[in-house]
This record gives sequence, structure tokens and C-alpha cells, in this order.
Amino acid sequence: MTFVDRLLNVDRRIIYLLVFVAAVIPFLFPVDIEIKVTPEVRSIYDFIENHPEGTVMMLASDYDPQTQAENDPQARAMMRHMFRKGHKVIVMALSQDGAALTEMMTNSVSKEYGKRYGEDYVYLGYKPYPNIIILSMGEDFRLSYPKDYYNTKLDELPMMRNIKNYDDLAGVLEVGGGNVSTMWITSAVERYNVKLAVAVTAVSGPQYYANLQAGQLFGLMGGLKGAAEYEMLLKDEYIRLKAPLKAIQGMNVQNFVHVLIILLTVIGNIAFFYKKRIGS
Amino acid sequence: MLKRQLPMLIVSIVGLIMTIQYFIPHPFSETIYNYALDWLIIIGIFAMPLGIYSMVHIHVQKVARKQTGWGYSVVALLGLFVMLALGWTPDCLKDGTFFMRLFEFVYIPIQATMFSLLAFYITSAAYRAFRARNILATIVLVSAIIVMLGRIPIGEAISPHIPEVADWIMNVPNMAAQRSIMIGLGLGAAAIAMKIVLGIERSYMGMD
Repeated sequence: MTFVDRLLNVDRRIIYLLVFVAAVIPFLFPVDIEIKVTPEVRSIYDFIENHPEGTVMMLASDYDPQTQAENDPQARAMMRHMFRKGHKVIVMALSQDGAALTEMMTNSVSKEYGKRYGEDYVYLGYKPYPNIIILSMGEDFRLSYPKDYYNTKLDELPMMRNIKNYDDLAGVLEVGGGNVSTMWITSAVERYNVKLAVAVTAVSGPQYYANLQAGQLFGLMGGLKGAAEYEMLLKDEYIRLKAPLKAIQGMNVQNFVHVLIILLTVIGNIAFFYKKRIGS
Repeated sequence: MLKRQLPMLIVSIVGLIMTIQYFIPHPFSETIYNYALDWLIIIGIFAMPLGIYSMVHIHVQKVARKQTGWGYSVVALLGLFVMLALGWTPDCLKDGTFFMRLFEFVYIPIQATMFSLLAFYITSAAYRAFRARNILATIVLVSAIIVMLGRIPIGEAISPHIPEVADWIMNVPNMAAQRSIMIGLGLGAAAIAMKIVLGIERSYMGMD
């Protein structure tokens, strides 16, 4: 067996080992990286930044443990920004596996800012059948959520007393890893003219560029890169809070692994063409 | 009559009402819409016990017949009933409960691991199968490399044009393809909805 044959038939465990090493190195030797902020992420930042203190916004946290690595830093970054600006936040979850994750995220960020439950933020929790829930909230939040996650009636929460439906919100920031983001576009944006931005996984990101350009979304945050861009915009705030810049650290890993994939693809192609030439 | 025509008649009437309702901004129309939403939620709830029954039924049968991989079915059933038993009370969602510990320290890592494995599989697949065999495959390969580089800081360090080209790929060719898919899907969904309302499409009732 020639060297090229060996290269073409390399044991997959060696490739797995290389990926593992590429993922671990950045944790041992972190590099300080600068990340350019794209206009689609900047527009989410501007949306939150330009609204006056006390504006009510919704964070629809529709992700689950599978996509936590990408979606959690996105949700935390937007939540921190909203709290820093003094906005009031309605948090909800449309993923059954994400309800507890969202609660953990909401509790930890609200503690950082000393926010009071029921006055500065509320957590509606999870309800099944996302499309129905999104539609019903356009009429009245109480249709689907007569009570919050902690079993308190919405009308007993001071923040919710004057909030009926989407008309009382400045906008919705949706964090998701699946097709719930599309439901938000078709059911909330198209039917109720909701101002929507989505933060999705890198894999889902490309499909939402069309919605962004069509004006159905005012912002788009794609994957860990999008979260890292947002963290760059809030870097001083993260340092002040002593909060970990998880997405930026994660970009270090992504840096190495992407380069490894590109190198392996190039090597695979060189070996393939060399073998083809020798063969012919 | 009751088995075939009646369900189809209900679907047709409700479908037509909901279609017309969408275009009438009147309180009466909104009342109908709210009423329909309530019904949707109620019907949806009935699907849940059905799903649980189906899952239990399949796995119990697998265990009873000792089919291949029946051990996994035991784990699935145990998982279902243990979490159901522990998650029965509202207090289970409080920090430190056994339910939350299982969720946080077993379920979350398992799910995260499953998704993380993709990185390993994708790298292996890219090495073995991502070949510039013809012009189309070469275009895909080059685009993928540019987008991958454009999405990481090292891409910009190599050349500031790489992220620009990556953005162009995402905003122009990618978007054109996505739009055509979305328009196709939209037209397809509208056609299917129309066929259902008109009683042409009956597969939802188990008919051809």
C-alpha cells in the first residue's frame, strides 16, 4: 500500500483524535482574538440599545441541550444587554427540553443585575405546540399562559398587568435551534406584525438570510460566531460582571477545528487527484 | 357517511371559515379565531397521552418479544417512568431536587454529547467524501472553504476579503437558493391545504 493509499484510507479514529486535539488546544493556550461585528448582529444590539429604559421585550428561548453551546451564549448576551438598559423582559420557552435551561439562564443573569421577579422580568415557562402558542399570544398572553412558570396568575405579576399581547412589546428576540424560528416568522411577524430578530445555530443560519433581506427580521445572529460578535459589543460589560466570554472562547475552538477541516479536505483532494493521475 | 363524508365536511367548512376569517379584520372574525385557537390547544392535549401510549406500547412489545436491542427499550421505559414519577409535583422544578439533578447532570450532557459528535463525523466525512470530482462539486467545495474561513477570525487575518466573499456567498447565491426552496415549499403547502379543504387530499384520514 502506497503512502497515498494510506492517506486516502486513514483510520477514522485518527481523524477523531485530530478533532479532539484541535478542540482541546485552545482551552490550554487561549488566543486573544478580535471578531468583526456583522450588520445583522449590530442591528439587534442597536434595537435593544435605542429603546428607552422600561421598554418591554420578549426573549423567546426555544433551544434545548443539543444546541446549548451555541444558543446559550446568544441568549445570555441579549438578556444581559436588555437588563443593562433597564428593559423589562418576558421570557418564555417553546422547547420542552429547554424550559429548565431557560430558567437557569434567566435566574443567573437576573441575579447579576439584581432584577426582581414579576417587576423587571417574568418567566412564562413552557407550553407544547409552538405554533398555537405563538398565534394565541397575538391575541392575549393569558390564553396560553394564564399562569407563569411558578404557577402565579399573570395578573398578579405587576409587570404583566398592562400587557395583553404582542402590541404591548417593542419586539421579540427568538433564540432557537430548530424550526420554531420559522413559526415565529410565519405566525407572529406575518399575522401580528411583530418586530422579530432570531438567534439560531450556525447550521440553521443560512436559511434565515432570505427573511432578513425581506424585512421579516430586523436582526440575525448565527451560531457561536454571532454570539461572539454580540459579546464583543458587550465586552466591557462582561468584564465588569466578571462573566465568562463563552462565545469568544468558543470561537478559539472553532478557529482550530475549521482550519483542521479545511486542511484535511485539501489533503484528501490532493491525494485523490494524485491517485487519479497515477491510475490513468 | 359518518366515517368518511362527515370528517371531510368538517375539515372543508372549518378550512374555508379560517381562510376567509384571515382576511376580515372584524371583532366577530377575531372571536371565531380565538375560539379556533382554544380548540387547537384542547385537541393538541389529546395527542400527548396518545404519544405516551404509543411509545410505551412499542417498547413493551420489544421487551416482551426480546427483539434486537430490547435492553435499550428497558432504559427508555425506565427513563420515562422515573422522570414521570419524579416530575409529578410542581416542586420538582426547584433547584437541587433529584429531578433537576437528573436533568442537569444526565440529560443535558447526553443531549449535548449527541450534538457534539457531529463535529467528529463531519470532519471524517469531509475528508473522505468532499472531493472536487466535477465543476459543481468544485464550486461547492470552494464555497464551503471560503465560508468556513470567513466565519472564523483567522479568515480575516489571512485576508480581509475572505469574510466579505463569505458574506456575499451567504447573501446572494445562498439566499437565491433558499428563496426558491421557500417559495416552492410555500406553494406546495398552499396547494396541499387547498386539496385538503376541497376533499381531494384524504391521506390524513388514512385514505389514498
